[in-house]
Amino acid sequence: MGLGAFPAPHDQWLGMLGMHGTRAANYSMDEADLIVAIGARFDDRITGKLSEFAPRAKFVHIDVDPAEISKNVPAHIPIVGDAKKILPKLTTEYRALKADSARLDGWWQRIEGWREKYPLGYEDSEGSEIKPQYMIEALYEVTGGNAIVTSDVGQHQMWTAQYFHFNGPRRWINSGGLGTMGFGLPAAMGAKVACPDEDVVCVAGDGSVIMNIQELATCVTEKIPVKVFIMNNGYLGMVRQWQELFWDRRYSSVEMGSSPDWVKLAEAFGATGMLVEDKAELKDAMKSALETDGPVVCDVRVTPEENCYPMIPAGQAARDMVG
Amino acid sequence: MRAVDAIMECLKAEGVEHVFGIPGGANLPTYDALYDAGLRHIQCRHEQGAGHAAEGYAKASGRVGVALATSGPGATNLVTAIADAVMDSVPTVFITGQVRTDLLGTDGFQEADVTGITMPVVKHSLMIRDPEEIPVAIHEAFHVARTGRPGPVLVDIPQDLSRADIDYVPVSSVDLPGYQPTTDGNAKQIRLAAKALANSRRPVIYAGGGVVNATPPRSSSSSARRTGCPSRAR
Amino acid sequence: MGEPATQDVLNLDDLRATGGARSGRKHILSLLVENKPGVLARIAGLFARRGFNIDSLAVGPTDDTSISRLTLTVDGATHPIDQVTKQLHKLVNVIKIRDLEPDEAVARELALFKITADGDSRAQIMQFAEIFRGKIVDVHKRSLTVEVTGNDDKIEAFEEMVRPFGLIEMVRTGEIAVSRGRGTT
Repeated sequence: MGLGAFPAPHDQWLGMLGMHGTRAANYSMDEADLIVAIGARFDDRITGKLSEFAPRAKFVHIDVDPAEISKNVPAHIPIVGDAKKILPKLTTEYRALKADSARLDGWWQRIEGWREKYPLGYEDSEGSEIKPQYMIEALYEVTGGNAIVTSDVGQHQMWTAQYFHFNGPRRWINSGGLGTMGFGLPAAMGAKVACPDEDVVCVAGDGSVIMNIQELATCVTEKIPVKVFIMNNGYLGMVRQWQELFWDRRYSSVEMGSSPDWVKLAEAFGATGMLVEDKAELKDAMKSALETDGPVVCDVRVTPEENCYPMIPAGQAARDMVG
Repeated sequence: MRAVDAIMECLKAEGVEHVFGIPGGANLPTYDALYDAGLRHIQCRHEQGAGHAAEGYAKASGRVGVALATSGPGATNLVTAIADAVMDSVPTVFITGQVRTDLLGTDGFQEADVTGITMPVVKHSLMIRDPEEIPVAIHEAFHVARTGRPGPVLVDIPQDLSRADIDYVPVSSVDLPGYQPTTDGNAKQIRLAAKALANSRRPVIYAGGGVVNATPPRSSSSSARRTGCPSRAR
Repeated sequence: MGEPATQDVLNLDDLRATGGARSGRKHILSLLVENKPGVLARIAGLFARRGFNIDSLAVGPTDDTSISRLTLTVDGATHPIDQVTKQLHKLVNVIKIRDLEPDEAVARELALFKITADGDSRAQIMQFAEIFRGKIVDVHKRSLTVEVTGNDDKIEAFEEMVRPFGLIEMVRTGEIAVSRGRGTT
């Protein structure tokens, strides 16, 4: 949920934390001696196995909700209040202490080591196949990283979080806590009404987007030009991944089939429909979608069985990351 | 004036420009007031869509998102969005129509105990029993939604009360003795945290959604000097 | 690695965790809440969904009709009491919470005991009632109902005394409490 609070392209950005976060971020939490948590609640997707989470660290916990402090993780230095009031004061106090920043050199070296050894990456395809990670990288490039992006819930959500390098707040609009499929399209609609001059894009899963597809009619009738890019792998992707990794590949009710024909459905609603199956055409199609008037639904066919890595399996610790 | 017209005045006083929703029997009076209130209403196709749209609106702009629904199934269709808003601390106000007071508790047509159903998933909720309390209730809802840890507030208004005539006086302040969020951090603790940071050798900053919530709202789309998103400058 | 700041040296190992501890004792929480519809449901619902147990609950009006007093007893051994109070504080209708230490409060509850009583046992039961300063509030050929007030230790002690005679049923109100001394609770 904090993506965009600190610019992703910056040197000091370690990446997203948690179940599908970067190794650098998760390992650094594991070896940290001090963790300063700001406006965060040590959710189970972040901590993994609580008894093995950040075993060497002391915690500063800054939050406006006192009930979150010491709820999951005991705070050594609790500070109740609004981050926007506290952070400037903390910065001033810290600077006044004139700490020797060279004391962190060894730490940065260690972190750089992880970044080099375990960069976030994937094996791209050689032909026309569109890898889901590539789809997000393409979107990032085509929008210049400057769009407001909403998503639904699942693999597409994790890949967007990993590969779209949010550099400002209020750009990544997501259902993090409840994890509601069907959130993306209506949320994009709301975001576009709030920010009509911004590009508003929804990265949708084919399983999720059908859940509130009726709002496409609202977008058309009310003239709200959101751009929906469906990462279409024909599966309830994240569930399929767990069934593959932990349930012996017993794919129980995760195949979506070929219904609906997204282009025809978009057109039935009065929106523009596009289909992209070839990697070479993807960026141009995305540009075209952004430049077309009115709501657009772009059905992007991606690799059907790609897994989202790295991953801390449920109930395990950061050190047990796989992939 | 009618309570519903007062509601429109209160919404405007709170800076609301857009609302999302679907009309129905129990909120007909509200929609009559909306007709020429000068607010933009986006007529959605499912109340869940209206609810998530209010969330997306709030998350993108930093302002309070507003969604309206009628009683019974309209209101229950909002539940997922309300639960989503409480989990992600999204400042939202949901105004639901309710059956007439004489039908309450009788399993009336399109009746549902929305306040009961949503109790575990709201930051706060208000069930109106007296039309005169409506303006204060609306302002309280916005105050609670946007301050402290933001979250969803539900205001449930029986149909007959919503169309009653009230003596509307603009509300200047809300008085909630049980709700006084702390915003200034304790100076001693801040100093201690700075010292801890200065003495740490392997520090990490873990920033969550609360940092995003702390960023200033985007300026309203109707303000003349709007040049684009302020956050880009960071 | 460089040296830490030489002024204001703080050893991170000296930092101690605050909060989240279980006290192991019973807590009497005295709440002032707005007298509005649904407040009791909110509190009960909060306890249910967070998995906190309420040992007893008593609620009644105060001299201000817009405010009610709610007294809860919670077992501090199973739940971290600071989480319980912090979650309660999040409810907008909860105005004030006081966690009363046993020695800084006067706590009382009222209990009614319906006891099997015939012939000899009647006299003995009446004696116990007198010792515990209880009152006989109902008499039948084969039973007696005794009303006892006191703190929970006293109620439990009386229960132990009369159980051997045959306790038909027992009803307790749950404790209410006020702080000792002049200030308000």
